[in-house]
Amino acid sequence: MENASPPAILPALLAWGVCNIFVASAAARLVLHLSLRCRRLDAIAWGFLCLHLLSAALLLCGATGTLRPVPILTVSLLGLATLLLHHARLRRGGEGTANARRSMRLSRPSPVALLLGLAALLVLIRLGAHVWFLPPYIWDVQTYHLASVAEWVQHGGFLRFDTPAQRSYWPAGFELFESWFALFPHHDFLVDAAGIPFLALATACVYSVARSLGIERALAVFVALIYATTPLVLLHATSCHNDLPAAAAFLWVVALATDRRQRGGPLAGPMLLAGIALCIALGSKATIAFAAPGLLVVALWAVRGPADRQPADRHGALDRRLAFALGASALWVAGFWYARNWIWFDNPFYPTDFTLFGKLVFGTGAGQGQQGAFSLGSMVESFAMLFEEKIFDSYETFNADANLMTGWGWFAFVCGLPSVAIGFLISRPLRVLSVAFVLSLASLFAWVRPDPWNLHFALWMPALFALAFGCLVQWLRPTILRHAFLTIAAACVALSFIGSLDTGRLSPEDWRRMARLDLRRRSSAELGLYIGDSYRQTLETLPAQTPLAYHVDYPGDDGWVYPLYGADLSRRLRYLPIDESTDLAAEVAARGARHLFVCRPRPIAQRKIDQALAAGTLERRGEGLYGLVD
Amino acid sequence: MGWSTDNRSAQWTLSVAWLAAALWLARVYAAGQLDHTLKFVRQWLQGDAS
Repeated sequence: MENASPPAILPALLAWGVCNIFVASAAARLVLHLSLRCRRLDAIAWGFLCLHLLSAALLLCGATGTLRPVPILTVSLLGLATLLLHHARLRRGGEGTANARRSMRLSRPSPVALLLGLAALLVLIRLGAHVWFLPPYIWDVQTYHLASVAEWVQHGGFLRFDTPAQRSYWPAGFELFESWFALFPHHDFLVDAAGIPFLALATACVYSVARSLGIERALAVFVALIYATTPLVLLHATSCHNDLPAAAAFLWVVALATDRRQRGGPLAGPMLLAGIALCIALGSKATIAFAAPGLLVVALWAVRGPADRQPADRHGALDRRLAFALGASALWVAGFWYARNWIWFDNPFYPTDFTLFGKLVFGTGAGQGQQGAFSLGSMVESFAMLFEEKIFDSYETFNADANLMTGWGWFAFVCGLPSVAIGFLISRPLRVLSVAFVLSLASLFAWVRPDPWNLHFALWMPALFALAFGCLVQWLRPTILRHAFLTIAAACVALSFIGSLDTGRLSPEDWRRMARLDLRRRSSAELGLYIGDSYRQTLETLPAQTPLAYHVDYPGDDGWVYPLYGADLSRRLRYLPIDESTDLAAEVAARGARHLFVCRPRPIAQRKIDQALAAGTLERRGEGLYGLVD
Repeated sequence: MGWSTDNRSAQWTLSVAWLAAALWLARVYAAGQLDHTLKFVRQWLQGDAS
């Protein structure tokens, strides 16, 4: 079914808001049953469950072809009504109010906290300005991440579509989450915001770990802000890259483990939540599996410590039906993409081969996209690149690609490195965390290619520097020293924040040009980064809903696909591979299209176009755009 | 007493070491990244379209 016209934005956003309220309410009900016995963990678990419920439900909608606003809104309204009835019954019975009151109580903020709140507000303004004014602009995102989003939103569910980028078949849990931001308005103006909930979750987890390590509240907030203003982390939140879910899951597991280590208590709730977190991350990107050794260390530390001798309280038992339902939904979120690939391509990790001990386990031997094997050589090379070049962040301005840089920023290098070294001496928990983080980084490096960009798989790593600094300042007694440390750290945070106000890819003129445009017209094609005017001209030439055959040079620099969909995701794209035997006009017609778009063709494609033009079967309609001759 | 919070000499020793390291590292890092940051700030202040 095709949409005749895009919905009005405001009603679409209101409907979307109702659905989000339903998810938030359902998550709040679930948190009451998890027995975490800690307000800050309850709050984080609530946010985390919102993300999980959304992920699981969207996956169900996508798989059943109901990824459309009307059925989702209908179910949300029914669900919301049920929850309200249930809540009213509980109130009459006097249940739940104590918990509700407890979770609503807030302590009075101190002046320091207000200052920190102001800093957090600046971060939010930075993120909001990006989301509002800028369309997606990252190469990976334009070539495959958002192409999937556009296809799903158009078709109301998953489908196997022709694409030059076989990476489209990698796990796409985060892309599905992105589609949640584009589904109701049928427009991508909010899609950049999809990473922000995961940034919030990761930041809250850093705060929680800091508190569990004994760091006082205001300092713990500062530690969390240090993490959130790490240039690579901040830029990732609005980049449409899919690495933040893995970072948030990693830090959530660490937060649960450090809390368990500190306070003891029942294991079932934290273990369930940690398992769900790993499943969400696996459903977004396999890199969380590569970082697992460090998480295992943290988990063992939490389980085997002296705290496990504390008796569980009477609320410690977890509802088995709830645990089963959440566990099953987590396996669904993690396993869907791998099972689909196994069925479609006989390889769960398609298009990447998977090799173990030199033996090809899955794939054809001609896999692409990633290494798919453990290699000590890769680990050594990645560490060498890290310490010889990337850690200095000297290659270019901070950017979300982490191109030949860590993107960890001023704080990690200036304050973080010496803090980890000294923290290792003064704090046993920090020793464990340091070993775990470095082990995870080493394992990750061994499993991925030693390429210029691989640090964006480790967005959790900068948290260690912030936490080490927090432990060190907490350990210091002389006020003058504390102030000196905090002043230097604040200066570093400010420099990192200033350096990441821009994207590292766009000029002030690009920002101004986008800000001048009407919201509905802001698009990757209008931005024209790397791709020039041809995409914009093509969209202006072809009406919405028009089928368009296209050919781009993927994985080359000109492999941009997504801008052709338009910001309203309305163009119906059909990929047309070109080789010596291709009859261009016949292939365009076979795809139900009347037009062909080709971006900077390679010699073979150019030759075939020239032949078709000479034969009179195609005619030129614009830059890179050709039409069938009747 | 080791590295406990009561050991003031340990606190001062490690703090001085941290401050010295931080200042040196700031110089090293600035040599690489500061120019990029300043270039970006200049661009914005001048409204440079490049």
